[in-house]
Amino acid sequence: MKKKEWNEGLNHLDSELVEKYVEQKEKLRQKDKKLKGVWLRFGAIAACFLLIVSAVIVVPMLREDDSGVVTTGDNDRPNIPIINAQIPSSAPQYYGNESSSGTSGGGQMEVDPTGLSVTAKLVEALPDVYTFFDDWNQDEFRLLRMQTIKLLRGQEMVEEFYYLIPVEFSTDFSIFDRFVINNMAQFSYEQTVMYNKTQGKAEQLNLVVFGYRVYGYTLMGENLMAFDANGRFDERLWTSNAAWIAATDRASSVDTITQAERNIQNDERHQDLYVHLLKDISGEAEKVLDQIKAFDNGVYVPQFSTNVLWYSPEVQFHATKYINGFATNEKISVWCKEWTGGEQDTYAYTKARFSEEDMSRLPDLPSAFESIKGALNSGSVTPPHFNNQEKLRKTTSGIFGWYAKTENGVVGIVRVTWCFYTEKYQDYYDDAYYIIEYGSDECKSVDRDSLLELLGDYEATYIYTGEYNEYGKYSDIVYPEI
Amino acid sequence: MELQNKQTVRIPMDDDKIVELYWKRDEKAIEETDFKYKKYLFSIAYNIVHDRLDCEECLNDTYLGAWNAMPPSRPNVLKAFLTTITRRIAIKRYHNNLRQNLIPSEMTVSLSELEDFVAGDEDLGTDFDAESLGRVISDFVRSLSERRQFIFMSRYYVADPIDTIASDLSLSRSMINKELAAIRSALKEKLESEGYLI
Repeated sequence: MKKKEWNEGLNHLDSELVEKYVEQKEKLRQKDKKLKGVWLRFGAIAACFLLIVSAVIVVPMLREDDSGVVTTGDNDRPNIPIINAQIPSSAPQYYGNESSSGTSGGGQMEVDPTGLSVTAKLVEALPDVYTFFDDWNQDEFRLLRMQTIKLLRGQEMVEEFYYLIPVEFSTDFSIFDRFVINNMAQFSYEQTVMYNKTQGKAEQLNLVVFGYRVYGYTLMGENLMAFDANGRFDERLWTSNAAWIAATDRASSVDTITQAERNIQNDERHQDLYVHLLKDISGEAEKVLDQIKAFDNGVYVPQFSTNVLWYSPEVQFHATKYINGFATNEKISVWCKEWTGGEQDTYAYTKARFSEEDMSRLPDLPSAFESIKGALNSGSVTPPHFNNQEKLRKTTSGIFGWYAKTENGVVGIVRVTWCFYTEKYQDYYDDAYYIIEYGSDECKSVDRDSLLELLGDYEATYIYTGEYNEYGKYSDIVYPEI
Repeated sequence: MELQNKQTVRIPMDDDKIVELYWKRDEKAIEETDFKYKKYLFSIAYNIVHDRLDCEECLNDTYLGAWNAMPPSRPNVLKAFLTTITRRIAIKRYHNNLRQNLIPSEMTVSLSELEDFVAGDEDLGTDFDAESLGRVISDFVRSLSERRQFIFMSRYYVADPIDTIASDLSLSRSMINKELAAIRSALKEKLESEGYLI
């Protein structure tokens, strides 16, 4: 049987079985929640609140910034979200390249995926704002350099680490003596690269990054508690700004650091999952670590699968190469043996591998990107397939640029996307592609098929490969019948 | 301690009310669906396509699909209905991506476990009947114990990582692997008996 046949068969599974599965999953999650104890009960409220905070704070920022995302704000149409394909608008300069160590402990760490928990002291709150290169939403963070004092859950922990704080939660952390940090998940290996938005540079981090983030919002209130030098709960953290508002309702449930630590230690779920440091990777897969060494040949952004933040830490990671702040079609993946069940760690490269010669012959993508962005904002870039402006209304558009290795060298590609609605709320997408070649100061419009031909066997990452019709592309998915 | 602006806290809407909004053609239906299920649906799509940009588009298509399907549909369990839509969209994108040799996703890992009897990614055979196969797989799933049903759906329907399933069921990873091995063995037998494996 072919894989596609198997998957199509599964697509026709009885709906009652899917319903049963969803209900089972829901029950398990509810059961899981109950175990968290009384002081966690208000997490949902925190989540709701933070979504509102995100909507109030982040959305206007997205609309106002110069990232190229355009919103018409048509209130008569369904507000279906569309891609916020944003990248740093100026080419970052590189610095960092510090020694890769800085971590200690080492070896294999065993943690609870829902909450590696520690008592920690603040070493330093980095002053700058950071974003992740591969986060389309461009959520902004501060980084707290923390020193582990006591491991509350899990078997091993590095002595120092960075803890991610969404900027809206940022305050003066230096006034607190100790923190109890719960529900931590490892966000990236050491040596990862983040975009230092304050300085407009890519920066390599020499410590493992931990955080707790679920696709753009956090449950910070239940994850970070502050205490004074006497070990008394210090409510000033949770009252420091509006973002903590949902946490304040729980202020009376924990009085001392001992009590907070005991609450966490009494929760003994999920003890058999693993988090790795880069140096734990071995065998053939270890070779990729030289390849992804930051700043040697561009910037690789090594990260766990984002699922680590949602369900469990996957012992695998993927590193996408970034050049001048733009993604590329070069990617490297590593699967550790604990994940695959095999005898050794494994890895895979894309066919696209940027050589030194490629790096010396890069097209001027940043300029091309800025030009297309300006043209899009002024309305002079129009969707190529959409030919009936009377019947359809544009709702949103986005822009994304990347370097792609092709059979004929590296090109810069800019993709512009549009979303439309008809009177009957039918939905259409359209997109257009532009390329710039090395040595050229012209960014040329190119049709999708020619672009795919140009890429040849190289990865056509980020390119729509389905059919177009007179409006653009339209989903031909068969929706389930009830 | 006084909770400021308490009235602004937003609670997810009941499914029945969301479905009713779809039937009234109220655009708030999509907003409420997104608010309540985005994380969950994103994780389903991400397990399959393993790319955030693709996931965002899968979610957009899911909301559109729900908008187009209701009415006339009135799902009993909205979450399951959305799961089905998201999976179909993500699977379609997955197979498109696979043709381009993109990096494997969790779906690839889960499919590789079935390589004894599921292999090759060519187009569908001309006489292939997806609905018939769907019925056979459904019968097979119903024949499993409650726990194995959950494990099967988690691993092969929504491509959840093994660690996630272990965490959900408070079982060890090795136990889940054993259960999966037993399920695969029984599944192979079932597909052979129904003539799907030559």
